[in-house]
Amino acid sequence: METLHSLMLGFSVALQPDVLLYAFIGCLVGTLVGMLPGVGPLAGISILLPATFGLDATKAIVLLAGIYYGSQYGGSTTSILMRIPGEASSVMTCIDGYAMAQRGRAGAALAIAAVGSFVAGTLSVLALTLVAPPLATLALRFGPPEYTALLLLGLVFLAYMSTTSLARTLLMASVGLLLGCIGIDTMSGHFRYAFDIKELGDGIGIVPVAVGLFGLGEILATASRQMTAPVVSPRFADLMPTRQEWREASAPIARGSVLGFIVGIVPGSAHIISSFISYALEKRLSKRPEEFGRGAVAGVAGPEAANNAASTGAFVPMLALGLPTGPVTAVLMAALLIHGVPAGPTLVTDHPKVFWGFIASMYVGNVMLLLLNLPLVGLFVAVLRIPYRYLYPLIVMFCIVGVYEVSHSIIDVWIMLIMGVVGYLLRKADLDPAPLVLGLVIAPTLELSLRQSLTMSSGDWTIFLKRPIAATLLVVAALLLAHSAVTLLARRRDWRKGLADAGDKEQK
Amino acid sequence: MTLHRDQIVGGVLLLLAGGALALSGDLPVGTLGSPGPGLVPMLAIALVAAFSIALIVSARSSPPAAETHFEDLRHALPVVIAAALALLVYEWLGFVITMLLLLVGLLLRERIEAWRALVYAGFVVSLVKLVLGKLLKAPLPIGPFGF
Repeated sequence: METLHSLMLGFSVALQPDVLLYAFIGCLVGTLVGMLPGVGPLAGISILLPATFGLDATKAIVLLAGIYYGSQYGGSTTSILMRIPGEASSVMTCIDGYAMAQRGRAGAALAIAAVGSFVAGTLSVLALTLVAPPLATLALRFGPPEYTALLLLGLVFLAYMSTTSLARTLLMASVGLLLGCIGIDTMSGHFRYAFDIKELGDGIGIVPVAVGLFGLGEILATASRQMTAPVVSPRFADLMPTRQEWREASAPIARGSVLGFIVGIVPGSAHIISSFISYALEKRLSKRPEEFGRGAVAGVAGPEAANNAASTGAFVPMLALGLPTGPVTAVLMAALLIHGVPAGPTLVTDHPKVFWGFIASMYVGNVMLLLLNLPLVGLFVAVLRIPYRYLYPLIVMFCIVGVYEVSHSIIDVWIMLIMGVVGYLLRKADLDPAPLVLGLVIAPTLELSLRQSLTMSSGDWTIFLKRPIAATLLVVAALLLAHSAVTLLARRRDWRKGLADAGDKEQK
Repeated sequence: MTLHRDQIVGGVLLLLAGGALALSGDLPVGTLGSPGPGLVPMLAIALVAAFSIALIVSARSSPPAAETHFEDLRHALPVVIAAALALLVYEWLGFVITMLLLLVGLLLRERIEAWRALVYAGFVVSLVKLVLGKLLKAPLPIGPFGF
């Protein structure tokens, strides 16, 4: 009952005309950002971040979050019509979405993706409404040892869920932690690795690093690609799926919604991972798995529902615990901080209008996106026809302007440029930049809570084991690490066995 | 002996850890009961070094270094150079002139005709100036000519 009352308060904020306008702008920009290859939601959010400085915290977070979940809708359009993932989480939609388009069912694929996204988005906001407040109440009991354990668990979870190896993910997270140590130590006032550059005193900002690694880095890696693939142009009249297609889509949408929300809560690139897991799950559950890759409706419905649900699920740890699950939520947290509103357990109690207004705006935003994505498909097709060679100089400009406007520091823009080059090199080395950003984001909190824990226990490390919540979190982290190690060893054994088998065959 | 990609990556990151360690000389680590500003950096350096070594040890499963292609550097490098030049003059020449030069330069590099590049860049820069500078009141740097 209390939740319903609070939600009504949220709707009274979210339905104000100016808040509605910012939600609409966020959803529209998000759709475009999701559609355009080479511009991810992170770059879009970072670039528009300075534009929110004149707004209050509610409008700012409504606008920026709209870009994030809007991009999940938009990504499917490019995947279905061009076979190019507009957003990384739409990779799986390329396979069956484009195959449906080739069979003349582009409109139906777009409608299923949009409706699936809407259902998943709405269901997961409902889950967020129910889960986040009690979790925030629980988190109020957290002290420094609990936060240290929670952040360590977050890092381990990230490595556990990563598509690359455990060592590669933890290596990147450690580099992020090291970068996070740059600047003035808040407890002692010591300058660390600042090279007498006063702008580095506050440390390296999240925005320059994120825009550099994901925005400019992507442009450097894709500048040479020919991005003018043919666009399938659906007619508005063809948007309605058949009854059979609806029947085939309904169960995958429901499964994708639940799966995506759960995966979304876990740190890592959840919206990307969730679409991969959903595709694999649907293929396994399908009575006709051979249809996957040739235009299976479930291959579009499941992953699209999952990536939308995951993007909402990612808000649970961000809003309730103040724990970013990825670079996008990290930048959103930074945006709230700029407006003097720290994300975390106190958000519900200290800023109920921001918290509930934001949640209510997501219900409204999902309806807006459904109304926006289907009727305006012709307009979006026109945008997709803009040649990439005209588009990428624009993105370079937005990267520079976006980063500069955050703190009016040219040093930050130089950091962005360096990080762009680093991002390009990381792609060449097959290293995922997301853990680096996450390491950078959690470094100050991790350091503070670790040192506070040690100080309050007079140097006794067992404080982490004596407190039940911290101990539980650390045990979960240890179990995940152990499971990863066992899996790795088993795989290695398989590999050796395979090599031995191959050797035996050759000898025979 | 074939040099593998992860051997180079691990080696570079190991050097980074070594460099950070060399720069950490003046940071007091403190004691466990009273940890100093050097404690967490030291832990981070140790982790970077450990995982870099793990990468080097398992590097044989990565492709040979010679197979990593850098042919897109021909496109990436001009973008980096153009952006760097823009940063050098951004606060001095202001948003309008710097971004016009940047966009025209990159478009010409893509073999787009000069007049098209100028018209496109002029339109985009004016639009962004209007939206960011006037409507959203974001303070963009102003050049010597007052815009």
